[in-house]
Amino acid sequence: MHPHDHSYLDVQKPEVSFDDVGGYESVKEKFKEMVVLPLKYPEALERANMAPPPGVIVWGPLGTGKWHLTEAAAKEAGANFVLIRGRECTDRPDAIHEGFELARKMRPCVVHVMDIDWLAPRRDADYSWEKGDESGKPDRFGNEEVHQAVIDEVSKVSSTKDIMTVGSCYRIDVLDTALDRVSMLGRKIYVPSPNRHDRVEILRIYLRDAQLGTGVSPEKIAEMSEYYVGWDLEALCRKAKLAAIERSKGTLKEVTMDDFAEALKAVKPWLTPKMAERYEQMYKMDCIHKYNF
Amino acid sequence: MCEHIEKGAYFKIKKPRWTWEKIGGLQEAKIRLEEMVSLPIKHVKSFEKAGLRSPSGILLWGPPGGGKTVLAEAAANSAGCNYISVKAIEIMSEPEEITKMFETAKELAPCIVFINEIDALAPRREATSLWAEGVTRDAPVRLAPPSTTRILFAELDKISERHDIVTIGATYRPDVLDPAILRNGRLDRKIWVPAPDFDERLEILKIHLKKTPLAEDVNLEEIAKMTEYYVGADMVGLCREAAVVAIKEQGDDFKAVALKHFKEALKRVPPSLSPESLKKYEEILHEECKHRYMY
Repeated sequence: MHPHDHSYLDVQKPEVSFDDVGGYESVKEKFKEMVVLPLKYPEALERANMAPPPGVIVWGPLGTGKWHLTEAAAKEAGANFVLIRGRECTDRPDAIHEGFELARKMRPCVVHVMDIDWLAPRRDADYSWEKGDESGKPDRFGNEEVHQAVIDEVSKVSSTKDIMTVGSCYRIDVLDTALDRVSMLGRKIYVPSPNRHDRVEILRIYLRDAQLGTGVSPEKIAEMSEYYVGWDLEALCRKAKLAAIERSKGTLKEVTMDDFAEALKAVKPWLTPKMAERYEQMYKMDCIHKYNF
Repeated sequence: MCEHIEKGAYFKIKKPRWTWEKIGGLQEAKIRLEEMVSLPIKHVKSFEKAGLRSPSGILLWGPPGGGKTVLAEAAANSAGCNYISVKAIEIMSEPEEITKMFETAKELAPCIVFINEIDALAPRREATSLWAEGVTRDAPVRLAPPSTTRILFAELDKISERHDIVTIGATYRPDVLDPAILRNGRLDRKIWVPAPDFDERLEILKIHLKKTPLAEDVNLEEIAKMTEYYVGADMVGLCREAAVVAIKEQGDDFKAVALKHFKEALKRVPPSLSPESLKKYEEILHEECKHRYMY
């Protein structure tokens, strides 16, 4: 076991690559520019006299692949990858310090603070989508020390050129505005729920080893799975395969449309049409300049 | 060196880094700020001798990304005074922070207090007047309750006689602002921060690309011509995107940013303004009382 393989903290050579994430071509481009390029070509940036982004906030619905994309960016940059799991650190300021300390020792490095809104919430954060619906609201928040630790550490490495901090959260309006400052996590990448094309590409990955019956194709399933995000689609494929195995009682030939119909009934998306609309609105209302390099 | 930021950082005491020279264009706004803010702080005695009362506060207004924030910072730099900056949303929910902020300003005087997006802190209560289509970005998500607005006014009134504390508010929509904030002794002067014209865009490009190697086919005048309806922040974004495109293509062998990189960047960074929104700004400006813009 790796000495730092804790539930709250992971240090690793990144394994996921951009090819393992289906679709999202334009989002990947943003990652390649904001996260990869500054770590890969620091001297070229210096020659161009352009300061790298001090840090990046990656935000979008749950399960869209923010973590995978960040890990893939670290891999593409040839950097180390420190993952701090926000939910496990709400009372562990030492974990925050430990994570960033490791990053400083393992440069170049991408530090991914997952669920950063759990650790550094906005004081009057409003999580409601509509009346009574606070879907995705953290069940606990970082204590005072954790909150300050995150701010301090992000600030400390913001001008360090071979460490890139990526904070991820699922809403942009619930995060402490201190982190949002230009000098802190000054840039943003929005990872929206996958459109049809993205879903086709995501399904292609989850179905690549499966024998599919006539009429079953990633295109067909994508059409039937609006509002499903990456992890919904993964669960959907898994459920359909399982249904096929159960149905055939050990003599499985292929996964059929019936299996997918059953899976679609069992696996429902987290995102509602209303939430999807709110996401687009949130993005549209946000300052456009923070989404540029 | 990194600045110390506290969690929930309500307001920030900042060392101003921007100077007039680093800001391209906006000549008129720079002169007005120098006269209305920096000069009175620098030469308190002369103003007293002349019997000239300097403005208590300034409302900077103009399109988002037009340079209001950097102008305020440069004014503090020019005045050689302390600088406190805050976004309305950061102090909106805890009114005592407003009081604390002005207390701090008194301790740090001479001091400039910059309140960004001040329309969210002192909104015109009945304001629902819809803005031109497409200018919804940067709209305040929430508005402060009337009690908070009252505290802001009370604090502004307390310092209205002090020449060594100047409040600068910024907004892109003076028409949704509570008119009470513009009363004498509060933010009683206005400065219009317009969208840059051709010459100003050219100046912005020259400043931001001063140390950036450019290929021979890059003609900055040509780029300035292609960037009508771009504001300052768009121009900076354009330069950065062009450099990124070039580095992505050339990697470690990066030599220079060429015209094709700018052309690609133009596609990525669309202009913030449109003929319609620009017209709307000019309409508002036209309807404004001219005396508020004079000394």
